[in-house]
Amino acid sequence: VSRDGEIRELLSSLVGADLVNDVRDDDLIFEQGLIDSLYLIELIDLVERRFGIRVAGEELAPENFESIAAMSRYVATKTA
Amino acid sequence: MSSGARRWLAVNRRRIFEVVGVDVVAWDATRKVPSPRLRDDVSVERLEDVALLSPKQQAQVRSFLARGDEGYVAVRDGRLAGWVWLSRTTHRDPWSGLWIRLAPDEAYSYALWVEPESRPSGAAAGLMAAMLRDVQRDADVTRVYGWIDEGNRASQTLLRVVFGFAQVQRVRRVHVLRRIGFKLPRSDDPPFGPLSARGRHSSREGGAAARTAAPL
Repeated sequence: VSRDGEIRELLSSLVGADLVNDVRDDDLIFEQGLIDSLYLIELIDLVERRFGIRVAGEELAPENFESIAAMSRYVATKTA
Repeated sequence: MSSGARRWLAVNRRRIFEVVGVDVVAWDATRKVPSPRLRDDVSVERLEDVALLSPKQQAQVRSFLARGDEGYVAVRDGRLAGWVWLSRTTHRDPWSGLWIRLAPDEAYSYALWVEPESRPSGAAAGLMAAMLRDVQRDADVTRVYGWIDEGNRASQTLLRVVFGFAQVQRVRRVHVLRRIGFKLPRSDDPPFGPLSARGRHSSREGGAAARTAAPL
């Protein structure tokens, strides 16, 4: 499974695969109402655990978590 | 020291004396404000009538209203389910003891709260969005500050990821006996900005003269 696919799986575990299937990698998941801010916190926790990374306060930024593609890019830089 | 005293101290240390890192974050009023989806039974509005609040809550916000701060409330089944407040006035936060110093084009968002029974409902994001949209309608305000304890992951995520607040300063605050709060002297990083005695967040100079006078 690709990194994007793994993040998609994590998102599906929170909001359900039906919703996530319609989401493109670049779609803004919060702005589109796909995810509540509390689920976003859970999603970031899941990403940390799945990829063994620790997200620092300054890294909590829209450009790192606004979409599946953004998260994938961010994880890539953290695990490089 | 006896082992019993050591145990007691270990358990109660934070009740006696606590040092907490605080991140000061800022939002630029040119940013796009997202439109969070609210649960059907929750609505968000600007507080127009304090009758919505219980007597205890009215007492709690008396000092907020006295300095002209504006409240935004989440309402569920006709009663208060959450709020957030916006201030345009330099003042000292009584709980943390931190002075937030505002230039004329700056504001400060504080006291974001949503009752546990109404989470998740989108209320926290809805409150912030309603407030920031009103800020954008006011051409006089270009920046809104907030401060978040470094360990408060929920608020860190909401303000930074959802709304794009970015860090401008970090300080350490001290809390003694959970009653007396103050900024740890010389803990400001950088040593100028909204929680310092001088400068705007971007420079040591400027802003200080324009700020409302505040004792140090």
